[in-house]
Amino acid sequence: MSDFAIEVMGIGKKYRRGGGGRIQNAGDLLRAFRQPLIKRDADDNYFWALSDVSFTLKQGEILGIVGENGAGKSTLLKILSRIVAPTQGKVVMQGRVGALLEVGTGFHDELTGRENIFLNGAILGLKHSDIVRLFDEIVAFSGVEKFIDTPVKHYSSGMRLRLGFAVAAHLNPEILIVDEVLAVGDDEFRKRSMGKMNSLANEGRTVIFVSHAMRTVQQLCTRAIYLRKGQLIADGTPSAVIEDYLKPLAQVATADDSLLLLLRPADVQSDAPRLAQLAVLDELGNPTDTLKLGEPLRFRVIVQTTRPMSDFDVIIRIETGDNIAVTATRSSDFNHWYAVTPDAPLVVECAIPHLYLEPAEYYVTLVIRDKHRTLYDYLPRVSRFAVAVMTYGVNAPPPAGLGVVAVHSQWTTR
Amino acid sequence: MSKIVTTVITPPRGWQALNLIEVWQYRDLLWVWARSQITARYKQSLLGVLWAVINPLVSMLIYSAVFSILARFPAGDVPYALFVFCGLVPWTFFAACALGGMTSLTVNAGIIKKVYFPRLILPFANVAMSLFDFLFYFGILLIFIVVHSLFTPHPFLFGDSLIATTAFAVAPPFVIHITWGVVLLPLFLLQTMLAGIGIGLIFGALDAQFRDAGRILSVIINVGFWVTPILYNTNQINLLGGWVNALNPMAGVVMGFRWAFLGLDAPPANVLLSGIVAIALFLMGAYYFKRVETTLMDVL
Repeated sequence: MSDFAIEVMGIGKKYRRGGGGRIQNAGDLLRAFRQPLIKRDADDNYFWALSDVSFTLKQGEILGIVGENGAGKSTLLKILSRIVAPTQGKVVMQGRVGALLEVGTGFHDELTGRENIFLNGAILGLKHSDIVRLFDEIVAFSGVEKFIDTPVKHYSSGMRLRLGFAVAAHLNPEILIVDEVLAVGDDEFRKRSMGKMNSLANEGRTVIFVSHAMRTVQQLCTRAIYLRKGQLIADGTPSAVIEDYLKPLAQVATADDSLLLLLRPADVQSDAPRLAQLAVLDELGNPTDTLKLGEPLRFRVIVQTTRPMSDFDVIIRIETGDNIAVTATRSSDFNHWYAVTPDAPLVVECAIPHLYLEPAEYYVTLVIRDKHRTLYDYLPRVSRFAVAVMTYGVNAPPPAGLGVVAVHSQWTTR
Repeated sequence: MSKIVTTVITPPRGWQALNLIEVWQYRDLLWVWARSQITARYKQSLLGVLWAVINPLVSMLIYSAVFSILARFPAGDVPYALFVFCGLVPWTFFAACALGGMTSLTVNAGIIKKVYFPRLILPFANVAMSLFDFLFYFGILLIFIVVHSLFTPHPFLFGDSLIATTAFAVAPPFVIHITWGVVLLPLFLLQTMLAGIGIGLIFGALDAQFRDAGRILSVIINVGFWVTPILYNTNQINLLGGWVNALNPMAGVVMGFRWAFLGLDAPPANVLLSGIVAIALFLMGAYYFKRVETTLMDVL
C-alpha cells in the first residue's frame, strides 16, 4: 500500500461546447448510436475543463484549491467525488470518501426534519443503523429540536442549512471533499464548519476544499494548489500559492478590453448608451488588477452611444468571490448625471481614496440607468481586481478573521 | 481499524461490469429513498394513499362500461370488470416501472450532480415505489374477487355482455376460482419488474441525451396496452397466431394473473419465451445504462 491518501495522475476532463453533448437532431442521433457519448465529433467542439492535473496528498493534509471562476476547481472536485468521470488519467484514493458539494442534498420540502435526516444521511452514504445511532446527536447539533417533526418547507433557510450541516458533520470519511458551500451562512455556522474540518484533519483525515476566500485557505489549509484554465499552475504552501494566484491578475490589462462585444442581459434597453471600457487604475492612473490594502482605487468607465442621450448615472458595485456585495456607489448619489453624444465617448472616473478590503479577489459590476431607473446597460461581474496580501498595521500577514472590510482605525488612550 | 477501502477512478471505457455488489452496498439508500418518496407523495394530498387506487379504479369502470356494454366483449364466465382489472393490475405496475425508471434520472438530476451513488439505485428505488402501489391494487383485486363471489353484482357495472343486454337480469353467481397458478405470482412479478426496469433503463439513458426518448416510450406503452390482452381475451384477438403474445413480456403475465386468480385458461407454453425477452430487456437496459452512466452526467 502506498502512503498517499490521494494520488491524482494526469487527470483531464473534456466537455462539449455549447449544446453540452445532448442530441439535438437526427444527425446527432445517428452518431450517438454509432459511438458512445464521449467521443462524438471533431475536436474543436470540445474544450478541456481540466488537463493533465497531477498531485498527491498524504494522509492528514488539508488541501485548498484556488483559482478563478471556470478554472476547473469544481470539475476537479466532481471527478474526485465520482460525480463525473475523467476523460484522461487516473485517481487512486485510500480510504472511504465523503463529498459535500452542497448542504442538504436531496432535502424534500414535504418531509419532516426527522425524515430528511434519514434521507440526506442515506444520500451522503451513511448507513441506516449509523443514522439511528447518531440521530440524537445530529438533532442536538442542528439546534432545530423543536421543529424536528415539522416539514422542512416551514424551515428558514438558516435552519435548513444547520440541519443539512449537522448530518454532513456526522459523516466520518477518511477523505473529505468539500466545496465552498460551507462559506455560506452566518458566522457561527462558518466557525463550526471550520472547526469540524480542523478536527477531522487532526484525527488524520484528509480534506480537500475549494474556496474563493483566500483568508480561509490561508487559515485552514496545510497545502494549496492553484488552477488556471484547467491547468495546475502552482502547488505548495497556502501563502506561496495564494501569492502566485493573485499576481497574474495584475498582468491582465483591462484598459483595452472592449466591453461592447459582450452579451447583455435581456432587460437592457436597446439603442441606449453602452458601457465600452472599464479600467481599474492605481494611484498613478495606470491600469492595474492588483491593489494593496489601503491603497487608493480609481475606476475609469467609458460610455459610447449611437444617438445623443442625457440624464443617466453610472453605478459601480464591488462583490466578493462568493457573491457578497461589498458596496455599490452611484454617481447620482453625488448629484452627477451624465450625457453622451455619438461624436465623443463619455469618460467617467470614480475614485475611492482608501480601499480597505481584505486580501482576496473582487468583482466589479457596472450599470447605467436613466432618471426613471430604465436600465440602459448592465454588465454583471464584468471585471475583477485583487487586493494583495500585505502588511496590515504592524502585522504581516493580516490577522485571521479580518472580515471583508479592513478599517484603518486610530487608537488612543485617555 | 477497518480495512482500507481503495477507490480507483479512471475514464470509462466501453462496456462496464454491472457491479450489482455496489448497488447492494447502497441498499439502505434504496429503501430510505423509496420510503421518503412514497411518504412525500402521499403527504401532499388530502386523500393521501387513496389516490394510489382511484386511477386504476376509474380506468376499470370506464373500460368495463365501454367494452362490456357498448362493444359487448365477452369474458367467459368471469365478470368483465374483474377480467379487466385483473389485467390492469400487473400492467399498471409494469408501466410505472418503465416510465418511472426512465424519468428517475432527469427528475433527480439536481441530486445526481451533487452526490455520488450507484445511479442504478434510482430506477431500482422506483420499482420499490411502484411495488408499493401495486400492493394496493392487488389488495383491491382480492377484495373484488371476494365481493363478487359473495354478492350478485349489478349488471350495469359488473355483468358480462349477455347479462347486460337484459338490463335487470340476475348475473350467474361467480365463485372464487383461484388455481395453483398463484404460486407462480412471484415469477409473474419478477418478469414484470425485469421487463419494466429494463425498458426504463434503456429509455432513461436515451432520454438524458435526447428528450424525444420520453415521448417515444409513452407511445410504446400506449401501443403495448392495446397489444397486450388486457381488455380482450386471447381467444378473441390473437395477433400472429399468438406469437406476439409469446414475445410480449406482459402478455404472459396478464394471462397468468387471470389463470391464477380468475381460473381462466393457463397461458400457452410459448409465453415462456417472454420470460427470456424480459431477462434480455433487463440485461440490455442495465448494461447500456452502465455504459453511458458516467457520461450522462455531462449532458444532464
